[in-house]
Amino acid sequence: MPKVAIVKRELSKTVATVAKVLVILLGLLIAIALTSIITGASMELAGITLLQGFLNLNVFVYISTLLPIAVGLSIAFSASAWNLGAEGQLVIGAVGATFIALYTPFGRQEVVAPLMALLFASFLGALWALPAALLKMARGINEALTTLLMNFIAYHMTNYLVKGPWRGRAVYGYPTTDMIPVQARIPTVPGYSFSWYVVVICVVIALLMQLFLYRTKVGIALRALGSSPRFVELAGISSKRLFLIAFLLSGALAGFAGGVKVLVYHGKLVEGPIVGSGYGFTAIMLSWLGGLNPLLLIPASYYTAALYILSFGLQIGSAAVGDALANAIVGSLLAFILLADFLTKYRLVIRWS
Amino acid sequence: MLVEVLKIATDPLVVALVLWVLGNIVVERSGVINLALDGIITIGIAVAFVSTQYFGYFIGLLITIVTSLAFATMFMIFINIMHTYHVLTGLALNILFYGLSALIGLRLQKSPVLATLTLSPVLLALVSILAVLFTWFILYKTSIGIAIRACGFNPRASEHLGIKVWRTRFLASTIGYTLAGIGSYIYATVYRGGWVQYTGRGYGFLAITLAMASTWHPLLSYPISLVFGYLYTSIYALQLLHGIHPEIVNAIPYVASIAIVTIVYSTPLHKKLAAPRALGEVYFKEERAA
Repeated sequence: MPKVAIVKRELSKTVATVAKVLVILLGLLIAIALTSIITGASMELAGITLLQGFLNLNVFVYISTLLPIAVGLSIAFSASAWNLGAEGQLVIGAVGATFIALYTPFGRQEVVAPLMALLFASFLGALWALPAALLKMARGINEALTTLLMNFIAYHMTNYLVKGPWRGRAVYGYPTTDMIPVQARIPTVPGYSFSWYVVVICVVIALLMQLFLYRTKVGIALRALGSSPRFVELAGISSKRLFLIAFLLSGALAGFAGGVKVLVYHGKLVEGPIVGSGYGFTAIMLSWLGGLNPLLLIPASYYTAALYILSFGLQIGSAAVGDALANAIVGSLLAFILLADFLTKYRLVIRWS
Repeated sequence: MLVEVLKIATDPLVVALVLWVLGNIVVERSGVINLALDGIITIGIAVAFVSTQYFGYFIGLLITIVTSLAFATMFMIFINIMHTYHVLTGLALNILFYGLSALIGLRLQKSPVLATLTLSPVLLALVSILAVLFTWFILYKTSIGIAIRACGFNPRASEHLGIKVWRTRFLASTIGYTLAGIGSYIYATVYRGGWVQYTGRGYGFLAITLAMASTWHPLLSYPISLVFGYLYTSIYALQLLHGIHPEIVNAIPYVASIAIVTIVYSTPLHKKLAAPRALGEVYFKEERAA
């Protein structure tokens, strides 16, 4: 009987990175192959659709939502704060932005309106993350589960708002609010639903967070918290405070993304699952794809966005099959990333005895 | 009152929910955060729907259970052999499973409806009560159950006591996902009798929530599932009679679950209702290589 043992190993950073890049390229091949098998289109057609995804300007629609969330989450995950509530924080951020734009006097002032809305969205996002963080710190309750549940509370709260008190007067009974005032909207690129301002802000956020995580004392302590909490305590830094900072930052950035979604993309508040549309969950995996490194998240989010576009390209034939296929492709790609993580961190030893 | 309770206890949706919650309790008691449950339920429902159309009700049940177990094993291989983070694995596999379930359902179905299987209400209630008692017995009265709970509480210490953690977790997932597979089957054939894309998505997370609300205790999970089953089945009656908005009723399980866990953790109750403390911990046992 052969004995199989799993042993840890240390690979150099370059080898690990090369492995990840290989997985990503493999993912593209899987995407093309699966597409042509399921839809019956030729390999070339699938490949061209994918290539168009990379060249399509619409990638920025996805990048401007996914990148800030993923940057925030990579901070949280570096500190071992398992915030699975980005989806809910995003939705609540959207609620906050809508509130400022529709129900406060700021809503009709140029420049002030979007800025206030985004700030308030970030604030609410952080606030939505707070209970889970406090429960973890005070009572040791598993933060992954509480944040997960907070997502659903956010969904239903938003649904309640758009079906109840906030339902618009000019929407013919659809569950949405009225359109937010033009002054509060961020100007988009003609013909597309994204804004260069927001894209630039997102990239700047990623750069700033990179500096924060790798160049400041707090950031370095945050990253150490993930691997050795005791060491951080010995260095005289409160691990609880670090945990809270990581959690609130990730909540705030998810809330910011929610604000962006309302001010740029929807232009009004819609039902919770439509505002969120799974971005909060995708961003969790995206932050892993980028190796929890804000700088690497920029190409990683570009790649993920292109896959999203591919999924819409596929929907031309049949929307249902296209969506299912996109899920299958993204899911198997993510599973492969986990597999690559395993192969770079561990090795299998087989002993014949 | 009694009539109401009986009506809820024999509702096929509630019975399916009880089975999913129990399945989740067994798996999470062994220390694995079971987020893949949602995807596996979605696949289970699609498979139950399609396989019943081809092979009839009984074979359909078997196929559903086997498929659920196969995907659960995949999840467990990731967690116990590849030592990946539980949460990430669950979420990644969920996306894959949603996609697969839709492909199975869309490509293989014969028609979009299925003649529902009529089971007597007594039988349905009996299935759920027996499942509760079975889970409780396994978890609290057998050595397997003690091993499972030990792995959820402190895998390292249990390894020192001679429990093979990965083997115990595979066993727990086999028990748990057999129950969950039966639940998916009941949902598809007895309750729903039809399938559209992503039918059942979200019930896994609800089951995880209810398991947490019952502090992962099978006996407590039954009344709690009945209460929330009542809320769900009478969602529109509540609106008409008391003016409670359906969306607020929908949010209650999640709020209540967080509240209950907070209360239990803040009072001496947590000694009695110990939660699996090592839930979500990646357990790696250093092994001597050749």
